[in-house]
Amino acid sequence: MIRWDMRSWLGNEQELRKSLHSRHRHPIAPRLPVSPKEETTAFWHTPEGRARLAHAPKAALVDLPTTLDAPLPPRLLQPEVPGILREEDKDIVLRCWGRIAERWATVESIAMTAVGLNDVLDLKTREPPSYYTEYMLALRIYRALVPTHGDDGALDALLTCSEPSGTAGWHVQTYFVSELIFLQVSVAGAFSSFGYVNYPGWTGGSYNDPDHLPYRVASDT
Amino acid sequence: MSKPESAKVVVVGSGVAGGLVAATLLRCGIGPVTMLEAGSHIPMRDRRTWLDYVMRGVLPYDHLYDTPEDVDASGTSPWQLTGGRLIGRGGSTVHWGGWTPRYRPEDFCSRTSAGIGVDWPISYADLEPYYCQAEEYLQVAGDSKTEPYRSKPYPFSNAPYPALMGPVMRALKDSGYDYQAMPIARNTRSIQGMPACETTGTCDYCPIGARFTGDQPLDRLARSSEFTLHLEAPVCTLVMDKRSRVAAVEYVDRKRGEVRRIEAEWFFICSGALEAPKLLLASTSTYWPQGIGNDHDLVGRFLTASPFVYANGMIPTNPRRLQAELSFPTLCSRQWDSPLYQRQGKMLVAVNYNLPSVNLGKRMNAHATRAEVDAATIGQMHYQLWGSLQGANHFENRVEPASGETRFGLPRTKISTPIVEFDPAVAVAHQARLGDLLRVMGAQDVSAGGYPQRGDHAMGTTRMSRSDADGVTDDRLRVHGVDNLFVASNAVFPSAGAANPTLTLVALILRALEAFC
Repeated sequence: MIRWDMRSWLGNEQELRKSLHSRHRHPIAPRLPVSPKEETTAFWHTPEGRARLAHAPKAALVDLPTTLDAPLPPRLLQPEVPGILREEDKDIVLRCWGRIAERWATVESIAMTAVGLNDVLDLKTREPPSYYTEYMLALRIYRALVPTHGDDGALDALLTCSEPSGTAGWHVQTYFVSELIFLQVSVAGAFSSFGYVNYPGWTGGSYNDPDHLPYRVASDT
Repeated sequence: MSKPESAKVVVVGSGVAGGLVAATLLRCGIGPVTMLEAGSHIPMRDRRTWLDYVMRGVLPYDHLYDTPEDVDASGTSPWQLTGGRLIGRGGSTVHWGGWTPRYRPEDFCSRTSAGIGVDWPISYADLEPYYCQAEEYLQVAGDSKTEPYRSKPYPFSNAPYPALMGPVMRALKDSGYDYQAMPIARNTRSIQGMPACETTGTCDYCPIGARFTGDQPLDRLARSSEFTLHLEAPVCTLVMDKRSRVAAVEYVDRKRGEVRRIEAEWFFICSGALEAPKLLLASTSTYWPQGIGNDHDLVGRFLTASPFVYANGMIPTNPRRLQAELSFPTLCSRQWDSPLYQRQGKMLVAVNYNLPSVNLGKRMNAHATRAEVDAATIGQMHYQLWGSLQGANHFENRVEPASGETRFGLPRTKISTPIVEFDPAVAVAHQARLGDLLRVMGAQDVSAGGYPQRGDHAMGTTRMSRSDADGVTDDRLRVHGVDNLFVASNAVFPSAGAANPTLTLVALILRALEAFC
């Protein structure tokens, strides 16, 4: 039985905050090399939290479609199948991340590095419920769109798709694009380009120093 | 049934009350303590779980609420429990907002001061020292200069009011009304291994544990060899070996699928104002044929909870792009939470701290352009004022077990509220006061109403009294007529105030446990 250790979480948080407050902007931030793993990692729930079983045999992915209108059941695909995105897969996610920032002109406000984004992607694909299959679906559709739409056009097709529930496009919108947008707006700090000082999901900092408050204060208090 | 286990103390329920009872008794050398919790584990301070909340709005305890199928509710305004209480490790403080105002002195003597309800067997002065301890325990931040009287300052000072409170404060001031900082169970500085609040704005799931939640004491207790917590272990009955003594509890070990028994010297029911009376009523025997402590048909009676009202208003423009930048309340007004309003029904006013808000991600996902999102940020501002009202306790309003079981293995809940808990005309008057404040703020399209009763602050169902003819427990929370059985729950409140009850509950428990230490 493995207990989640508060110290390790705080350690990660400190690292995350360091990356959050880094002035590196993601489009030019260097990517860390990521070693693809042959094995996957399986998890199960215990009364004390998540436990980990390393080196479980890799489960097979379902046969994923390549078009946005292909039918798929409207629920998270294979949440029990963990995985780690390959470097070239993460690169596409990063380009999609950048395209979101360009589309809504938030590039200058983003304080999450590629390292920080990789960290989030690993958490989303390695830990249950795993998004690994959802990411692989989005990437597969993207690659199928590139020959006809070009790189940016394929990304735009993902960002603007509005297919109904029960389609691959719904999956891409719900589990890939939508979550990246929410991540970018909040945790990554894009909200600040809209004139806000703090926002749900942003680690603003402590309010115990009245000279450095992480939010706007009422003027007549 | 397998061989009985044994412990010095059995605690039923793992919420704020259960954790406090277990921690205090063990600190005083009274152990081992075995705690039984019907619900399951909830991952707390888990980064992936937090990301799921931020990126998708999913909370890890959404599945731990009552469902409509779990409850038979009838009455003038049938209760809708879903969302009101949380059945899992750490209890309802896992989802609470951390509001921790004290009850006011008149709340302890409503019969004497206003001719309604009953007086408590203790006064504000009796409880005041324990309020100070309770504020330490819950790590409360507040303004120490405000009423009611206090003998010690708050452990932490309150957070400065955010900019969006400015219009509310001006409206209150211009109307001649008082306001004060809302006391909140959040760390302004690091304490007990938990860090200071980092204003992540995700208080429904704090990623670092800077808000007090009921799982935190359990984490500390887990280091003790004298403490055992059984999850997914709903208690079926208390077993008496004579009229004045509980010998054991029987619970279902749902992981093993068997009924088990624990014998102990002391028993504390800490499972809330709905489950506590249900367990007493279900524990019938030749000694207590109507259920433990129920010779006078008082167990489960006098059920009430704070009715909650609101008023909405829209301020046409937002040139400063004011936005909810904190996810917890900072301001309240006790203008109508005073002796003057006790007879008709008091109200504590707070401000919806999640408004005004423009959900940027939602708009971007709806394919709004940058210009459209920008326009929304300077567009109209939605303010909402809340009123927490003082519920009335009526004998006819009650909770009892219903037939059938919930997915937690607990009996389903029957709630009957044939008598209205708050005068509708007074509730409308309070709503109008909230609406008037919004108009002073310059709001338009003001509307008001009330929320269905979820029982978040359910209370009164095993009320304290000086004798068993008037209540179920004494002023030290012991069940009348039983030497070793205690109810540590809002259930013991003889009457309600307008303020949130958790701080008062913690103070009552600390006072009751003094006899053990």
